[in-house]
Amino acid sequence: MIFLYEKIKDYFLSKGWKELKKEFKYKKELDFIFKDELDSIIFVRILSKDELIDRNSLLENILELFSLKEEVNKIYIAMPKVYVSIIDSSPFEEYGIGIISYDEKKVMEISPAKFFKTKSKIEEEKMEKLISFETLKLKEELDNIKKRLINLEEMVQSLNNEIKILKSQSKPIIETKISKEEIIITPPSSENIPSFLKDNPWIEILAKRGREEKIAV
Amino acid sequence: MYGMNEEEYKKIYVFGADYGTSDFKYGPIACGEKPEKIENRGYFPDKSSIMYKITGIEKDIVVGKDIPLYLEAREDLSTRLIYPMRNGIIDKNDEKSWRIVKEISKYALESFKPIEEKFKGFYLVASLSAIAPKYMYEKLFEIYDDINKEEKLIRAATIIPQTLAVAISHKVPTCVVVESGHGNTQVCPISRYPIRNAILAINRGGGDANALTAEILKDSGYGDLAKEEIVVRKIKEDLGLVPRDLDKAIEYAKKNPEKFITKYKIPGTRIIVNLDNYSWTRFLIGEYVFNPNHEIFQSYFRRGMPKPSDVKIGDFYFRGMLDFGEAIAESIEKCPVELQPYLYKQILLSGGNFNWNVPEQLKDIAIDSATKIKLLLEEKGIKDTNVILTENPQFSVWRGCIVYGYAVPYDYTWSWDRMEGWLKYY
Repeated sequence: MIFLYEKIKDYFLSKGWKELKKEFKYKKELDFIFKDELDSIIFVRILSKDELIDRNSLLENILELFSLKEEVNKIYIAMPKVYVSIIDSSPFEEYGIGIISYDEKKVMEISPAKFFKTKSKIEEEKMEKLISFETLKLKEELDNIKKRLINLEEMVQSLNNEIKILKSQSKPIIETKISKEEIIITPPSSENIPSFLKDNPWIEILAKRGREEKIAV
Repeated sequence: MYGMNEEEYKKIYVFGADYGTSDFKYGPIACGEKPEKIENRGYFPDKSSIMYKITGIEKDIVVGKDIPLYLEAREDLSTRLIYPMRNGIIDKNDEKSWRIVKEISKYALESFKPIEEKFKGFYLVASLSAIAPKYMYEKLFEIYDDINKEEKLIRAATIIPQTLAVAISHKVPTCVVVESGHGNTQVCPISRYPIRNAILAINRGGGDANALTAEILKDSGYGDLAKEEIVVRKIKEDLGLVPRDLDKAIEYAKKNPEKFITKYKIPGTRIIVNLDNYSWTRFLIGEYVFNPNHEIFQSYFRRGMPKPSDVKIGDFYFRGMLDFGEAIAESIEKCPVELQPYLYKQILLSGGNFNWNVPEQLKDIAIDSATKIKLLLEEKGIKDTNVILTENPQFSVWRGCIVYGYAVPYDYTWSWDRMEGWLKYY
């Protein structure tokens, strides 16, 4: 058995693949894990005679292996050559599991394994699509902003020109504050007293405000 | 701190501030006959706008003559350009309006701040509507206190009713002042002091005449113009007439339309308004201000024109449909009986709502405001009256403020019972 185990291992190694020491959920002692030249992960299980003959055991293995499809890229089972024609291979095909046959003389691929995208790969591709979409949106927005900026620059330039023209045509029209240097308030004299203060009976009335109460007290 | 010189100091640095419904008139006594004037409004610029950023000026509010430089989209004006004193009253919680009041006050005081070292702040006399509630006085005094925290501009301040200021500027100690502005009209008897319990307020002013003018324009086919407030106001001022007798005036106008048809060109435009067969309605505009009770106005109310209603604003109850003659009589009748004849002999009409044209060729049919009031009082059996239209009504209040500040002694301190006196800041 050890001899056959090594023969199967050599078969994959001769492809230029590398064996990985990695743990997976359903990995058994005799399972192999390889990595090929494209960094794809390949999982190989060697099924025993008992596992092949017993249908329940076979299905259980198939389901177990299929559950690995999000973590590995290809799955193979290896079975003795004599069972290849006996065993119904349709479940393997249905689940995309490749079949390797072996005997003392030879190890060969009977049916290829389907390539699975790993979960991380799927997510990676989703992210790439999203990034690509977002990038496109950002690019569109950037183009839009550039156009608006150009319009604004033109508007500012036009306003600047108008201001220059106005400045050259007229003197300033708005003087909002009197310069402080000019403000010196002088008391009204009899000559410059405003007309509404002159001969106004209210002056005398208002001058008594507060005095009337004091007198009353 | 104060001495004999304080009284002299006050006379030099008295400063008047009239917070009118449209304009803010301000200036120290040194201004002479006329104050400075800016619109009583403020503009809140859009800080996110490109123009705000380009100008690089960090202002939350713009007041004064610079406002046109900041105005942006027309659709923004109703929210950004605010007239705080449109009806003489600012709501207690109207933060934006109070901020504008502070800014225009500061603007006015800073523009006249003298350089001489002896200047220690103005003696400020501010004037508010006669129907302004007590909280407006409190808010204004607070604003002046805030201004002083930034720069000592106000040594002492007082606030007087606008109607009292009018009486003072016209040198009449005993009178009734009828102040009519955009939103309302106040009747205020004065006998050395305002007789506060006799003040009567009417919920009707120039704005109501504008509304009727707009309806007339719509009926005449000028529906689009009717939506432009400034145009409507101009047409009211230039085409409106006050009839001696409305029924007779309408009859005469319908029989002699050529005397009343006027092609009115709106200044600065190519638009010409011709009321044509509706020219008789010119009399409705003037009549409505003085007496809205004629049955002819009912059709306008039925068609949706707002009817002046009775409403309580602040501490005062405003009557909507009271004619001016009845309002004056009711107000005077709340005063001591001995005083009443003197009050009827001095009725002063103040405010833009009393400025009406009397074309020479129509002087038998159209009359001025003073004559109209006299006639309304005569209808009520009150004959011995003297009604005067104030001269220079736009300056009356400011002038009254100056006289008040000049004359009232510096040591007459503010009392919330009397609502008079100087509130000292430092």
